[in-house]
Amino acid sequence: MKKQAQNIAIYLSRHDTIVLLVIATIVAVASLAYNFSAGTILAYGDAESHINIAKRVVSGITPGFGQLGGIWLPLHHLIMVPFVINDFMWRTGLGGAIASAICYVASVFFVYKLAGQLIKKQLAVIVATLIYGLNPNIIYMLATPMSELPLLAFMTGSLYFFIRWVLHDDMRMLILAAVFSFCAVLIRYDAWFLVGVQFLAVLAIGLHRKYSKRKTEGLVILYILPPLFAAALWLLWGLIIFHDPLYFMNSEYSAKSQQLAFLERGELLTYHDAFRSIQYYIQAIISNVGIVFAVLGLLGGVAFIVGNHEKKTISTLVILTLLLSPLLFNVLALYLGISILFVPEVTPPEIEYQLFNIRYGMMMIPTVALFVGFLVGRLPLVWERRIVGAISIAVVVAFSFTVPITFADSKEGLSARRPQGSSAAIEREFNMVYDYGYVAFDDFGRSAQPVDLLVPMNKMIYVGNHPYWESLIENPQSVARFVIMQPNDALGKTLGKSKKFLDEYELITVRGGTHLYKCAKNCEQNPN
Amino acid sequence: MKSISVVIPTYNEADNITELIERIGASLRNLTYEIIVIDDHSEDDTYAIAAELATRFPVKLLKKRGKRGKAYSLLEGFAKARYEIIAMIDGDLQYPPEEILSMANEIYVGDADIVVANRNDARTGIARIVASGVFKTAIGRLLWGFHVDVQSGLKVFRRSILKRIDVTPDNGWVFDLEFLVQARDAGMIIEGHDITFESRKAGQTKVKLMTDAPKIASSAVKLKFTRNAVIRFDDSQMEEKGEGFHFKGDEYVPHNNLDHKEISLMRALPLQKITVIIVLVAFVVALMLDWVATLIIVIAAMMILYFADLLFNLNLITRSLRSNPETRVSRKDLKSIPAGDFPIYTILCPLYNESDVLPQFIAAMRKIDYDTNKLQIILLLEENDTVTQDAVKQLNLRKHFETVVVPHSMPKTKPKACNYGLKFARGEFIVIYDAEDIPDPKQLKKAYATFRRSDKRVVCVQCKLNFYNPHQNILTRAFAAEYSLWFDLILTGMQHMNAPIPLGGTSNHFRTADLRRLGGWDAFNVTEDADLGMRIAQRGLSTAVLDSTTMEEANSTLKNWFWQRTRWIKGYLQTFFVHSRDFRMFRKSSGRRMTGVYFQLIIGGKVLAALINPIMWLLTILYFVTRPVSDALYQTLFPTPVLYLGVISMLFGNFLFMYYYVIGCVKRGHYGLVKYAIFAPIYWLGISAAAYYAVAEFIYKPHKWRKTRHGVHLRNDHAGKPAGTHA
Repeated sequence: MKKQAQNIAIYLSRHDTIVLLVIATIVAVASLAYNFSAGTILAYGDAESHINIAKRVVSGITPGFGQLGGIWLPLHHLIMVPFVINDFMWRTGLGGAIASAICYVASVFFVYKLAGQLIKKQLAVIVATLIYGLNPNIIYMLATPMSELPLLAFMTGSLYFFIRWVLHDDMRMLILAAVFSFCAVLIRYDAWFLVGVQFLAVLAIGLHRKYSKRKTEGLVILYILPPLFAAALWLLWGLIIFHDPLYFMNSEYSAKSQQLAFLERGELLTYHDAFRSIQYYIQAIISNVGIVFAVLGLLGGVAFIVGNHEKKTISTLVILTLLLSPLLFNVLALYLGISILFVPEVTPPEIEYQLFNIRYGMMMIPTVALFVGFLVGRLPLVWERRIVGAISIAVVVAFSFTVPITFADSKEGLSARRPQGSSAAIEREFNMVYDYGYVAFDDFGRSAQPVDLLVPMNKMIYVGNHPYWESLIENPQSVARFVIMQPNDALGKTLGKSKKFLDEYELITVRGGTHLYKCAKNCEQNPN
Repeated sequence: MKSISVVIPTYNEADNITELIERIGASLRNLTYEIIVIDDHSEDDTYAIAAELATRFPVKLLKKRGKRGKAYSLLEGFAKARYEIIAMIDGDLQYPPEEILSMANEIYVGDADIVVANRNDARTGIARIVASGVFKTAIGRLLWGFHVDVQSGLKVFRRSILKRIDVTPDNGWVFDLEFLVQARDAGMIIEGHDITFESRKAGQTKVKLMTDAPKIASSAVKLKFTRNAVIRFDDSQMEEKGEGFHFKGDEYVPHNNLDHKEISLMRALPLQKITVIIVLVAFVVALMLDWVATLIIVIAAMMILYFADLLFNLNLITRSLRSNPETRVSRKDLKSIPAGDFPIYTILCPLYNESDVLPQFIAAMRKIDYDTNKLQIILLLEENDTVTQDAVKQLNLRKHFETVVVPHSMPKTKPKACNYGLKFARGEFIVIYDAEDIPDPKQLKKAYATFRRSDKRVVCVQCKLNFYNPHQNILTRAFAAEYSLWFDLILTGMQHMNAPIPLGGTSNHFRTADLRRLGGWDAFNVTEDADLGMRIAQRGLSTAVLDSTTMEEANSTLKNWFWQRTRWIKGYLQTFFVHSRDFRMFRKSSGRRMTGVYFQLIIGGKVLAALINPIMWLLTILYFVTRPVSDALYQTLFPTPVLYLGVISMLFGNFLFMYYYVIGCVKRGHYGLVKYAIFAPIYWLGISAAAYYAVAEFIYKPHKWRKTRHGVHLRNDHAGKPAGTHA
């Protein structure tokens, strides 16, 4: 029996990566199955928007890469495309969630490998991986089409290879870090900051190791070119499609424009407030990892600095900066007002929304996990197994009974797909009266949820369907048999105020402020 | 004493044979002569009369044994001829036999090898005159460019011609043209001799105009597409000049015996030419029928090829980075080889107008770490390059330096000189260095160590090349970046995937016996190294890349660089056409399924990418400049999948290649060049321009070898110091 156990242990240690990938896959599949059955895959409003974008690339009245839009970076949607071709996978959100789940497995792999670079003891490496891989927020988000897991996968990948370069000076690792940064840059703007940090890190390493100016310059270029190319591609995209390279910043749909609305209402509390910026983001981290791990992570961070003090100070400093870069980015973004975060613990009660974007705190989960792992790795041998055992049990138990804060955000917060208490009433009404033809609605205003409208994507018209959208505003009867609008959305502000439209379209129903119109006179819908 | 054999093919010429032989005998009475009569199953008394004549004249009477027909009779007759000059004359007395003597005299005293009787003053029937005239003009002159009466039944020629040509007529009437064509291809001088062509006095004509004329005409056309215009030297010529041949009358001495299908003497074989013509015609016809659909297909094909090239290169680079597949030989490895084991090594250095860099080369050779008793350094000098010859003489070189003067002959190329030098090689191993090379001093030992540890299939070890003057100017920087990518990443990637490796100009080491078995270099290919690399792969053998560097001079002047690049790309085109002559050849002989595909991608892909890249850029720029008016046209010509493939290929293809330059520079340690790699797309414009020029040269001047000027760095203060050599 004992020998059998030993054999298993030997097998596990020899095939650790495979075992890890298998376990991560099981966790991912379990989460997918649970959230699919619970109907929570598309709880986030953005989740549905993401899969709709991916779907429109391959299906719609004007399919193509042009549907990728200009605000959200495109790679996340491109990753999802093959999974949402099938209508069922799209409507359930499962296609997008599978893409996230794959990214989850990749991110677990990279956290494990990263821990292996930074932590000597295998048990501590496992602890770090467990803390990351079993975090309830990670587990919930892996079953959603949100961009967190794709970003985490590519960021941890980039960090892993970059840190390997820092530690072993192998230029091939720097190339791989650059490749992962390239992808991360095309997933979320958080990565742009990471690239900046890595750029400075190459400079710092070059200076400290007394590389020649030419060598440092060469290494900097070697690293920075791919992510820079990614950013340039995005600017080029904006220029070609929207005639503005900075469309993602200047558009009416940009985060900046949204934040401006909050600022005008006096709800952008972190704007130019360093303390609040730090406070809000730290609280978001705590909400995501739990207070125990947050404290242990802090201690681990200190241990990391102290533990590595005697050797290679610059490497320690660089690695620390890299691991803390999500913290630096988010605090800076909050301070500059380009990001917004509401956390119940610190948000004043007079603010309408108490929970919003709490998921941003997830970006620090790998760092916290690595720090805790590092701390465990520094423990005296006699304590080690007990502590490891205790932490492992704590991880499993605590995480098992914790409702992920990101899930609450998706149900209760401003991020929710449907405000609490609302239902898919307008979609139901529409499905009952729909006979044929095209339906138009303002997707950005979320007047209707495409996945709930029982018509194919290529019968829907939204703002990205040029030139049909423009024809719709000009002459709606020639395009849409049905129009769904809210008074304040793009259609409400145009068609809703048009006498001709109101004259020729019949109001079928109003549900929760959303109007459903059907063409009644001079209907000649034939967009093609 | 002058002597001549007269061959007379006869069939039912009983009424003419007596007079003919008597007149021949009378006209040749002052010569030693013989008359060979080949009787082709005559049904009259021709044979008996000829037998009687044989008692009075030196007649050798033969009964036809082989196939019927005049052509076969002539061949049998020629085989029996004893004398140095042969005359052939029809037995119908229409050709005046008295002219044989004066025609033979044109050979004896003049330069002619063949004299053909021109039937200018024809006194025959109108039909015969017209048919003969049409054939002479349409077939002889227009189709084949002869200015003599091709079908003439009276010809006098040197017997030695028969040793070199091999006439194989398809029917009894088509000897003449093939004979003349082959003779002309073999470099023989053909002259005409005007005669009066008499009408037949007795007997009946054997020519049936209606049936024979079409046969003769069709054979003439068929010959155009099927003939082998390469006529090899006979033994005496080989002894005098070396291995060589005539091609379409021109003499070439490449000093090797590669089959004409294995060399780029001809740009393309007839089948290849026909294929190209069919494709072009189909393209034009398709354009006329539906230009939109045709352009869509062409654009789509271009995009697919471009994308395939992108993927292939990505694969190469990834493999190279992941595996570092080049062979490394450490000092410890070298020490483990007993000194006595190192074999005799030959270094070949072709030098042509290289007096400037000669001292530098000699200095580099002196630094070679190898027992000079086992070293043979052959300096290959051209016969007409007396300046370099004198420069060598003044150096008082030690005995392991040998000078070999390559006799003047065509083609005048480096590979021809190397083939010549190969004959003098005594080494078990051999390496080629260019005049401006400074090899790693331990390279010979490392190469030998590599051969020792490799299996017998490795017949070549290619060392890396780089430059000692990368910082001389912007061009040398870009060039050095490109070389770093090519030798440090791409070649090693090719080695990893067992792909054919186009050898790089110099520093390729061989087992001498293997190189001889391979046939040496293609003297007609202007990138003979790349071609040899492909031949190695085609024969199921392989090349190893050794991590030992030879430093060279980067071209520092734009003109020099452009012509060198033009030559390289033209050489790749030559190599592509040579090794595409039989698509199954790679797989059949190498036994590796993918070798042929890799060949297409490496040689074809490289040229194609250089040709397509500027088109892609041009289309992109045009689109943005003319967007308002051309948007609809672009949408038509670029259906969505094609557009996506094109955009991805262009953006990622260009970026990735630029990034590969960066990686190559970093790997090589050329950190200072990395920033210049960013400007690689400008450099590629130059490559593309050279590629288009190369295509034109490939068509019009396929063998023109533009010599790269060396030693420019010696006159430039910013150039690197070539004294340093690197491992």
